[in-house]
Amino acid sequence: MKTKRLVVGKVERSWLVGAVLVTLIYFSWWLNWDNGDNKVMYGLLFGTEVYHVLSSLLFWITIWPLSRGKRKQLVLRRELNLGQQPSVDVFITVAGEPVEVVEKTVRAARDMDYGNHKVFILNDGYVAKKDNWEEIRDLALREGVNCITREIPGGAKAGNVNNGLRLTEGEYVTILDADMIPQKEYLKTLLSYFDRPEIGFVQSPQFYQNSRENEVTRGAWQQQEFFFGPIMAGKGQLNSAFICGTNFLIKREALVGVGGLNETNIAEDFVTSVKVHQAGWTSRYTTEILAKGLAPEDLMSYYKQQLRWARGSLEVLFAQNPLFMKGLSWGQKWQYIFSALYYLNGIIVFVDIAVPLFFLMTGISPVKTSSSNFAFYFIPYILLTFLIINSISRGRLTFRAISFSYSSWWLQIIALISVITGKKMGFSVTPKTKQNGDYSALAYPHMAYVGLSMIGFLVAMYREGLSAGVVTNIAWVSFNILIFWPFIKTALGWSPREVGVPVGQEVAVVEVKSRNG
Amino acid sequence: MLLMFGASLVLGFVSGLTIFSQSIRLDESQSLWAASHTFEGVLRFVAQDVHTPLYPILLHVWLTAFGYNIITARILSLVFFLLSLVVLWLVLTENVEKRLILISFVVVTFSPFLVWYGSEARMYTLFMFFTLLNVLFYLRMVSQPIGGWQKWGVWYFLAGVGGVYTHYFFFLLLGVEAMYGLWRGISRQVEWKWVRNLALAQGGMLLALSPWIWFALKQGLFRNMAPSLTRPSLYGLMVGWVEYFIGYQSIKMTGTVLSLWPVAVLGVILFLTTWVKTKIKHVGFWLLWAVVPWAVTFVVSFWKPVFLPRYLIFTLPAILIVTSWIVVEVFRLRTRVWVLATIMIIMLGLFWRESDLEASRVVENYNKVALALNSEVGLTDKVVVSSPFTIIPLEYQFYHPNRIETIPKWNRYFPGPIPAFEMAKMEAQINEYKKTYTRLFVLLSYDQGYETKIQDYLDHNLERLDQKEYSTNMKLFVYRLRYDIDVPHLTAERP
Repeated sequence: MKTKRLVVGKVERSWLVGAVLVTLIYFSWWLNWDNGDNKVMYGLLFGTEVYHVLSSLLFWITIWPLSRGKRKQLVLRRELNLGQQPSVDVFITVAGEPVEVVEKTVRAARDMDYGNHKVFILNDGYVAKKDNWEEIRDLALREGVNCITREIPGGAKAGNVNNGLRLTEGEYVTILDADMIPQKEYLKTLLSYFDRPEIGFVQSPQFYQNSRENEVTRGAWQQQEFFFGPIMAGKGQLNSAFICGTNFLIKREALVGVGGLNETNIAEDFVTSVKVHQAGWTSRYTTEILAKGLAPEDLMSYYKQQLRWARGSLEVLFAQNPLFMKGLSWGQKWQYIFSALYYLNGIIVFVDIAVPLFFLMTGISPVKTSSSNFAFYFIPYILLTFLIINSISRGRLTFRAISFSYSSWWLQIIALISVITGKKMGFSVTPKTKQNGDYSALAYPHMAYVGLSMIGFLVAMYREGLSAGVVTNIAWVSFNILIFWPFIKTALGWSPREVGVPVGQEVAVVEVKSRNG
Repeated sequence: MLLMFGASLVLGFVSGLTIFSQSIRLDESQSLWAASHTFEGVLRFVAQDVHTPLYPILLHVWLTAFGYNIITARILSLVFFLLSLVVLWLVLTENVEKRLILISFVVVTFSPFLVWYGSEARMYTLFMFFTLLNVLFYLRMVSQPIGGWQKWGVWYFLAGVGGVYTHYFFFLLLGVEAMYGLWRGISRQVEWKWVRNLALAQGGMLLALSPWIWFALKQGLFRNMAPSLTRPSLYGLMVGWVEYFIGYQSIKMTGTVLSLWPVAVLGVILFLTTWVKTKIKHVGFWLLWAVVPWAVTFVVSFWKPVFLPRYLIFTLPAILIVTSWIVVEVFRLRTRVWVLATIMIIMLGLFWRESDLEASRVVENYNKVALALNSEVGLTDKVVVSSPFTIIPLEYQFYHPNRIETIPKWNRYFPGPIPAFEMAKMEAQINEYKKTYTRLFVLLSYDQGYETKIQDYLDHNLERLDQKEYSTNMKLFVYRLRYDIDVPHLTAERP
């Protein structure tokens, strides 16, 4: 059988060793406190650098198993013995998604090439007060699948799944979001990865079939592709792959054993994975694309999705920090921290973009050594990092994806504030169709930054002319604005320019051959 | 081909303007001085210098044939510059995709740094010529692992021998070639036999240079003729890189461009996150070629200072071609006439600024000093210069009967190194002048580590009558030596 898989490149181990070295050398510059001018600003920047360096080191560790010579097979070439087909319950979680979207998923799930599975639509439309909840029920009747409609709300998606768990009994459970259309071989392939009894769950990528639709879907997909490519592949080989909400298959015993999906956090999948690993189960990850879904098609949907993920992950970091949990290996602890840390990026980016602006406005500098001295430490670090990223992703992490990620700083700050203040955020399903509207407001913070930078430039020129400090800080401000630029353009609806992976090369095709058949 | 012809014409014209209009520079005067010796004298002179003998020998022959003057000497550099362009064209067409060829060719060809040396009577265009020739054959052999050595091996070897006889830094290029060859051997992209052939060829080049090394050691290699270099700073290293792009501009302009490095870094990030459409064959080699010699020279300089950006001119094609590649990809540039014309205009504009006599920090205006001295110096005046070897460019246009002397005193016609500076000897030298002369004209234009001592001594012991700066770091001081005779009035005119 043939399937497609996400591209995961290879990287030389020597590069990774070199990367660790240049990262430490770079950090040594920051450890020299004599470089600081204004100590408060230097301290702030120092804090951001601790974050950058820690993230970099954890990234090198994550992709270490993917380095040349070290790497195990990412795609398992083993065929399931069809004589022993365990029962599988397929849960399709629905909360008001359009019927035509759900219909495709239901049909594909029902028609999967497997003889012992039951499809359940977990219909939360009623409790979520969606107009189409009855249409979903009718759809189930029409397509000959089961439908479980909750009448008592609670626990959002996790509550819906747990309700389904109570009413079903298959040995394995798989969860599909309403838009995730599974391939024929979805179940067979995922089951083939359970080749050892201690394996609790297997996660597969979330592929966006509408990734070429517009700038937002492209940006969202390109971010996803890097996460579900090298990062999750590395985590999979470190027994730290975690559940990503959909497209995973889990042993009922493992899921029920931890009390079902966690209902206390909107990142229910993430927290549940921690608990499953704590209980001694192991996890696997496959890069094979076994289900295809929909990326958020407009910036507001993207924003809501990111906000939810950020809120959930930061809550884990602050309230249920895996570092202090028993039952996890140190590797797993740090891998979970690595994933959750990403959403602290907001505050880090904020400090990084504010410091040069502050200098332009006030003339107060965080550092006193020459910028060329700093460049000597910084350039090898940043270039080697991107060289490795380019190599491990085979050039698929685009500048647009980086821009979307970098530009999410302020929504991540909102999420951080909500976690710190304990303000609750509701679980909202990412819309599966394009929402119309003017989303330029999402780029107001970035446009304000551009405006303030121009004012800062004039202030600095008036104060000290085109001094080396002014030029350097103008360069840093320009650096930030150029990264924001693709995001601003998307928010304003300006015509894009495609510089990413050409059409038709998004995924590499790999033929999966059976080991015993 | 049309572009190459056109570029050559433009360059010929531009360089022609410089060749005829610019003052002789210190380094050029040394080239002329070296070439003015007999054949054996040239070898002896160069052996005490920091360089290898091929260029002075060629210059000697060239000047003997076409006349001993600075313009003729500069034309030889122009000839090798134009020949280098032909080889550059071949290297590009054989290794770079069509989309990039013209743009990178124009960027390298009109690089103000390279154009500067295209009209300077020094060995740098010859060095560039052999570098490109050697790389051309090397890459042919890499692309053709089987049979390549039979076809191109001899040419590779000869170009290498030419290179090592032109500049010691050519060995850095050979080192890069060895590294890349070794990597290809380890990664089994070429057979070990190929790597062995490379090692033999490079060993042969070293062997070919060994008679010269033996001769130079016997003569006393680097004996006081070498420029006094200091340990490079990180700033100096980055300035060197910037100069490769914008040439020798004012310190302010260079500093401003240098401060923009974060934007350049972002450009590289953009490149690394862009789906690259244009390919360069053996890109690993190009990257090593651009970076390794700089890194090695920089590190070695902490032990023995040898870092001078112009010594690394052989890396310029790699640096500029890789940069062009990045720019072409990031901006999705296509080869259009307006793109090429814009690059050309920017580059020539930078060269024009670089050559501006008033603004440039590298133009050495010995001509103007010599002309001023010709009109101001009287029979009772003495002219001295320091460092000693700056006497050569000054003498080129100094027609006064009074002989110029140097501090420390140096007799060029006597074999051996330049004497070391000693305060006591200088005092004796000045006291000697007091017996005969009324005024002392002192030109300080190249600091070998004792310029401040000279100036301090003179300022504390003699009355300073005047001071003029003719170009960056080129200062002429006038001191009164005795009071029993009236000094002539200084001319009111200022440079």
